[in-house]
Amino acid sequence: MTTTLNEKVVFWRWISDTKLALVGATSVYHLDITQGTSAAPVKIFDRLPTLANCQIMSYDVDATEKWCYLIGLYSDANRNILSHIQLYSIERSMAMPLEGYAACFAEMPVTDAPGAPKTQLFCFCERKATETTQKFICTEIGTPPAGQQKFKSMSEI
Amino acid sequence: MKADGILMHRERKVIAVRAPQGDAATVIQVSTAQLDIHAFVLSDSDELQIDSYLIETTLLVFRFLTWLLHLSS
Repeated sequence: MTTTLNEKVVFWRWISDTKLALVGATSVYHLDITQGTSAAPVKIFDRLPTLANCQIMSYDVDATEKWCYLIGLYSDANRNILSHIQLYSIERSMAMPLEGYAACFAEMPVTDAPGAPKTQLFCFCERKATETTQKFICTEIGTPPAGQQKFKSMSEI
Repeated sequence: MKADGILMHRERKVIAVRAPQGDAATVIQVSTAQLDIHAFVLSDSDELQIDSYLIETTLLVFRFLTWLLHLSS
């Protein structure tokens, strides 16, 4: 199959057995190769302006394909290498800008209780341009059980 | 068209090739048949043409992965 995307692809990777993620200069697309000759890239979200001048380093989608993140590096006026993360909820069509350089999705219990259900997590290393410290932040992205607060853990690196 | 990147999916034995058309577009071609890079590249003059170093690199990686699979089985 052959398809054309109407922008330059600056980063791409397989995100599943059947889907290719294509990061263009302005937007991010998914291409389902099982669609055969009618396969066409589907726009997932627009890149935030903060990532416009970044070199894209990483992109991933969670197991439910409801959340994605995009990581880009840039250098400031003092030639410091900094980075932005764009966390995006496909379900809510909502983007969240973060300052970090590494991230991952995970699904695991967050308590020691036997039979504890798995929690959907987004973890990232935060490094703000205005700070010298770095933090590891792990936060729940799914909906917590009724009556419970969202899990969040933070520690300095 | 000249390709600037190849992505191989080891499990599905599928390769994707991309060919930029200036800054305005990118052609993506996916081979869903069994992985046969030489046949893929040389099959048709209208097909995407891949730089030789990309072919060599991909073949090298594929041979290495095959060797690893052989070791693990």
